[in-house]
Amino acid sequence: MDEELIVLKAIYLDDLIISNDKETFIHIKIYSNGDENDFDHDKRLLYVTLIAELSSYYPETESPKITLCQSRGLKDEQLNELNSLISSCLELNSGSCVLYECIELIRSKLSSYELPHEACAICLTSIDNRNDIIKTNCHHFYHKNCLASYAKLKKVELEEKFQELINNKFFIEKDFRNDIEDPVCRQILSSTIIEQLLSSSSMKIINENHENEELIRNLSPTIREWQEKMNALFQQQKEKGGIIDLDKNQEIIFT
Amino acid sequence: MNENGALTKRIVKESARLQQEPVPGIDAIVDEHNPRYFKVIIDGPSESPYEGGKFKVELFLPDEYPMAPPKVRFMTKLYHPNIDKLGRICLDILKEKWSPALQIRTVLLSIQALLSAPNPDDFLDADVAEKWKADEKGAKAIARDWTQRYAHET
Repeated sequence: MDEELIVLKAIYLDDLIISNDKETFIHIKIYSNGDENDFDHDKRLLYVTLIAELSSYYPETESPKITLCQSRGLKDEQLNELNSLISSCLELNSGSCVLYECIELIRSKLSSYELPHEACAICLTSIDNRNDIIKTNCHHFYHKNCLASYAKLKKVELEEKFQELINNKFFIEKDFRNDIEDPVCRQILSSTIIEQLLSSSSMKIINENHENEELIRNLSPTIREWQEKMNALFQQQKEKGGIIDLDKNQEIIFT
Repeated sequence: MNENGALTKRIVKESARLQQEPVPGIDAIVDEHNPRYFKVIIDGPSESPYEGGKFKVELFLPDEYPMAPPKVRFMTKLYHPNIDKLGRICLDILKEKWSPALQIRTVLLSIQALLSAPNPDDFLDADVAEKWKADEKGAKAIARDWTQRYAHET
């Protein structure tokens, strides 16, 4: 066992922590491969921490007890898959040194999960290209373009609000002009992220008519049925005077 | 695909999901002429003065959606401190608290929740709010009466 640990330490260097209490523990944070030349852990999207408890009977008669914890970017099914991979690996290799095997098994699987599983919360489509991803300081993933167009719009809104307060001579407690929130958790985005977003090439949101037509053509018969039902209800409420008459009310307001 | 396409696609996805997995008590149907316009019926929540009512709501997705919030308005009359005579709704997520991670369904759920829990301290209609604070029982009776009168199906 000692020999195996020496070899592991030589391979993983500081990533691997060995502690000796009553039992021996090894502790290693496994990152997905990411770009081959990219050693910056912060840019890696996924990781999981592996803890192995080695009794004095390892490896001859007892397998290590392996737990996975503190993961990032993984969904439960993926964690389950990793756990079952580990159990079958342990079973297959019982009686021999298995730690390197397990660590590399997880690393290769993680790399296959490389892209975050959640769809971008802004456009609701999956994030398929690594280069399109932006990860916020609060660990949420978006298409860079999606988050950028939100940030730009929000920035304009905040600037306007700020200017309005100044014009009306309001006391401003704190400059909020850069308080752009993460769409999912509302934590304020870091200045580095905001800078990155605001400087990215701009993108227009245009709505083209032919797209509209296409959308309508795709409506299913069920939707049409519902539409008719709603129209009927509308008529019914209108007859009873239950529908707000905007034109009439405008007059009330303005005269 | 360009980003514009992706964002339009979001609207298609939302429309489809609203139909496939409807929110209980809420029917939302895209308009036959405009995919950015939704006709909605929100059932009055049980144990609220709006119970039994079917409230028509119109929802419009502006060009900036989902970066900017949808525009939502009640079409059916109702007596509520956070909804004015024109059916406009006072709800933070429809204004400064909007986030592009919110969706049509979350907005409609929030509106339904607003029917269950009126907030007369952050009112839109001053008269209704005043009544609500001074005489909650009486205000609720009016709300029930309006529901009965304007929002019942038959």
